[in-house]
Amino acid sequence: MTGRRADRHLLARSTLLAAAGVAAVLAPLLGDRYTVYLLTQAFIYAALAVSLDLVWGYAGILDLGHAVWFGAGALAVGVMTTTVGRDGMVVAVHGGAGTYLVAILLGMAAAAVAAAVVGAYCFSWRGSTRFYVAIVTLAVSVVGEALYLEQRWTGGDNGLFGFQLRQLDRVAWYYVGLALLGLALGIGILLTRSDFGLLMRAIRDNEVRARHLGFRVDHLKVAILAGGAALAALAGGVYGAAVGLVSSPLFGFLFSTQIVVWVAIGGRGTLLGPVLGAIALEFASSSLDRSFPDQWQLLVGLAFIAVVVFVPDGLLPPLGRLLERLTLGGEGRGPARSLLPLPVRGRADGEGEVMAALADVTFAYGSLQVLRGVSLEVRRSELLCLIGPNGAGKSTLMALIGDGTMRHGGSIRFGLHGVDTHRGRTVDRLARSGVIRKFQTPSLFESLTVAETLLLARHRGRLPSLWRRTRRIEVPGAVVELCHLSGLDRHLDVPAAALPHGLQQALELAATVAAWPDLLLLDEPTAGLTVQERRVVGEVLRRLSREQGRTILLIEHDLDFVDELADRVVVLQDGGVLADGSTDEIKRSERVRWSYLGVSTPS
Amino acid sequence: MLLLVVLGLGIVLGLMDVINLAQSGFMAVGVYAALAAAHRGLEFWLAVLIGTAASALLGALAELVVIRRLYARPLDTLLATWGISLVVVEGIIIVFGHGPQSFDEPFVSGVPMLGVLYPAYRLLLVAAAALAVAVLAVIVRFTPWGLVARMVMANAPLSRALGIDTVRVRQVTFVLGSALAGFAGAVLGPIQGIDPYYATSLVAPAFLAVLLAGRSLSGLVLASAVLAVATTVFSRYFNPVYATAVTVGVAVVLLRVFPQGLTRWRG
Amino acid sequence: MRLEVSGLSAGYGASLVVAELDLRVGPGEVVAVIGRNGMGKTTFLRALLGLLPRRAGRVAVDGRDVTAEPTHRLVRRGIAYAPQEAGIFGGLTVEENLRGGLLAGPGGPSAWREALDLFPQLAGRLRQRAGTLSGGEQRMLLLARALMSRPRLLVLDEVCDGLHPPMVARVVEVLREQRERRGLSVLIVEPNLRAVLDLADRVLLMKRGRFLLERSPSTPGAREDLEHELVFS
Repeated sequence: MTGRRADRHLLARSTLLAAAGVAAVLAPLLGDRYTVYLLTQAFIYAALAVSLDLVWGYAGILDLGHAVWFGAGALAVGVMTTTVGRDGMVVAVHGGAGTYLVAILLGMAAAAVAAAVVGAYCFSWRGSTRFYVAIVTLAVSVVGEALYLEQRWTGGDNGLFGFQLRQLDRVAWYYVGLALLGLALGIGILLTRSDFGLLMRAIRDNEVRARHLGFRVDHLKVAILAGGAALAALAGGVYGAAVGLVSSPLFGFLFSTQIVVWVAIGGRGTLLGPVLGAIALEFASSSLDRSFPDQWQLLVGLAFIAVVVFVPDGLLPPLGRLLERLTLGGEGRGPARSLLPLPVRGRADGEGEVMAALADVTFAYGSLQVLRGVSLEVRRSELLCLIGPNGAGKSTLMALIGDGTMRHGGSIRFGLHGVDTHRGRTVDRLARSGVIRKFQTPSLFESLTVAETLLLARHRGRLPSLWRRTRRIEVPGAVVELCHLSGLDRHLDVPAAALPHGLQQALELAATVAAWPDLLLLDEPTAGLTVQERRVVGEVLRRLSREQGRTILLIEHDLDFVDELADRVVVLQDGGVLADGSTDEIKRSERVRWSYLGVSTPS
Repeated sequence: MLLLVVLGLGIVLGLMDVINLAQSGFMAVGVYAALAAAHRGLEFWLAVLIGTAASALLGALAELVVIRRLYARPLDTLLATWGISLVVVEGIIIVFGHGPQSFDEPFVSGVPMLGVLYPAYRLLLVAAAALAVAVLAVIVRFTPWGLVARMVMANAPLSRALGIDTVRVRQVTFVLGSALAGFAGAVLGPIQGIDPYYATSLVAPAFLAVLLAGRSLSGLVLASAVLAVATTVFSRYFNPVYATAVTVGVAVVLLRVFPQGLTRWRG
Repeated sequence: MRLEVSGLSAGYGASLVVAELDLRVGPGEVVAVIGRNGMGKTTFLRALLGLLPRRAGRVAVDGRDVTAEPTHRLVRRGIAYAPQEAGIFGGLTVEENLRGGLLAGPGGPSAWREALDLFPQLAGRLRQRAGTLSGGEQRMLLLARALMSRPRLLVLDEVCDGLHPPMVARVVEVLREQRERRGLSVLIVEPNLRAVLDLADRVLLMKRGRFLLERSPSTPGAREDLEHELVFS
């Protein structure tokens, strides 16, 4: 999208938003009291929907217990402003505006802490899946609701009631609600349009890859969940102060899934969709509740199913596309991004010293022995090719080098700053220290554009800005070159999922290089590429190694490619090293020819 | 004890690779259809049959329209099946209203057991449940159909390459599962309180049972049994509300210890 | 069985892995596809059988166009497939795995006897869980299962990979015997050229998703041509 058109887009969107804002501000003067009350509630729910969209729509964490955080906010206000008598009923209400404010803040803190605990429990576990999170948060909701009923200080069955802040009248609360929604949307938009927003989407699209680029995904997910919980609790606190009611259904599974319905129907990952979804559905259900409550709920249920099955992105995106893509804060294409080459000093010093030393490395998948004692050394600045028949263990070896948590025998040591042992080091830790693997099949972030992917890669695990939206992305010259030679630079603003295979491979490589690793692990970088494309890749790799001092270990099947590029070749077979030497030595080796053409050499 | 009946019957089979939160909905359909039949004067067991058929029908419809399109999207299946149970609840409210309903057990006699007069109907149910589980186990383990089902559950593409019509197999097992849920719902009608939210409290434990089961049917039985026993035991020492909470908590922790399901650690 | 493939193209996502492949297998013929890894051989087989959606192309069995048929129906015409990966059900017993092979074809009681005669190592392990067998034994199981349904066309994907030479010889022997006795057609993908040269009537070399070369091993000079292309291209 060119600059001018993008600017016009931005103008159109801003105008629309301003118009909506004005309408919202003027509404109380035009509507009746009940409508104003309804809208206030709707705004609060919309803010809640925003918080779930951030957590689920953008970061991919399906929080089926989101209502608990909302309820916690309301409960904090209720508890601090009421006294409960012996029979569990509210006896007195007290506290000035200050108390309410403090209560809201405490509620937010409590929710954030609780969410962090839940998140830490879910995400820190190696076997964690999306289901596990959903299930644990579901359990939290179920347990929360159950526990609520049993405690006296929560009001038990009756809940707490009557503690709304009476100093503000309905109209004032309307504006508070509107302000809350504005705040939530504002935070949401800022966050999602920033560089950090890219990271959120990356985690949602391809968590494994994000780890391989050095990001501490587990910590980030906990932080995002806690943040979302705090925002939900804020909405809950405002709800408590405005309505003066809190009871067990507010924490329960039914309400949690109600929020999910708003976000799903409105459009996950669009911010505005959930807002409109929540407002529309709440408004409709309140009006229809008087005449056709159950039919309406049935309709909503059917609509929910239909959306999940047929339009999983929600209703807003297609509608928005219909209205010429007036979505806010979604994967909206902002003004175009560009790449800026960063001069990188070529490291000629230290050549020859050992970057990685493998000694007698063994590895097994269950009962299948894949690596049987591999010993080899990778020296700084060299380009080492790993070849061998299928099943020889090449990919496994490469994966192992990049991941110290895989259980193996033997030892691997590095000669990098910051890390020399390998065992026990997680993928992201190793990536941050400079060991980065490129996957065999392109493993990219579907919704991120080429430029955005490179931007993230460039960070190599450091936290991106929470508000800034970088337009001119500084990357090493080699990356700029690669983009130019492969044609990627004509697709900077195209999402990765829409790229043809050759460009996906190129992006895969460019991203790996953009992280400027010290040790580059490439798994079949030329698979599926045309002759032309292979040449480009070869060129870039040669320069990276010879002129810029990167160390490259690569797996290849194309022997011509290997011939031209490799400083050294290691042949792997049946999990062991068959031969190790220069390209010429390997080509002439009788054993290698036998291994490729004939039956495996009898051991 | 009763939960054993419910979980054991209602959840098995309906879950081939499908995270199915709609089972409670099928149970509700079963009991309400039976209710309607009973109130029209039909005999108890006939009413139960009608309930079962109604659920099976709904299951077939759901599979055709919803489930079949979502085999590759497990999280969306979770949401969609939950949506189905929501829709069922609302549908029931529209037709029958919010209030509780009841219909009577077919026989009220008691059987003296351990010094207490234990209702015969409940004993029958327990026996029937045990029998059903046993029969199911036999079918799954020893019949060709069971083998086919296990193959499709383990590896669908490979099964297709061996000539199995995986679409048909999944359809049949889903419908069977919903029929079973309907039967369980109907047959438990006289004992449980019947209201539109029938069996929704079972959703969380049911979900957990599925995850704990891993990808094996024997795991499913084991998981259902463990959870059912746990709930019953906890109900004895805590009040029922806490009991559910504790059960759920236990299940979550168990899942952490046995991420591939309860039966996997042996393999 | 007569199998005809024309213009087959398939790939993953946006990319095309195999393009415009033509191949014929006649009754009682053994056709081998060789080529180094990553060249598209497995993709070809999967697309042929419908396990992967085809972008283009036509498949005909015994003259009848079966392009639109779903995999399970295609297979029931008498095709047995032994895939390269995930070919057996690890959680089921050996016996159950073998039984799985009976689904696609007539089989019959003698099928059991034959399978166990060909691979006696399996006979003693019928109740063992297939996942606990060694790699070589799993290959045997794969092959035994494939033969259980008395297929008319056997499709094998790298069945010799990782097997010891005597085992490879045995496999070749079994295939030859089946071909002679029952007119079995075989389509075999195998990177190991030497094993295949003894068996195949025709050998096709695949490179980057296309057939580069076709030779009959009996023709003079064929072996050298194939060897050369295999290593140096």
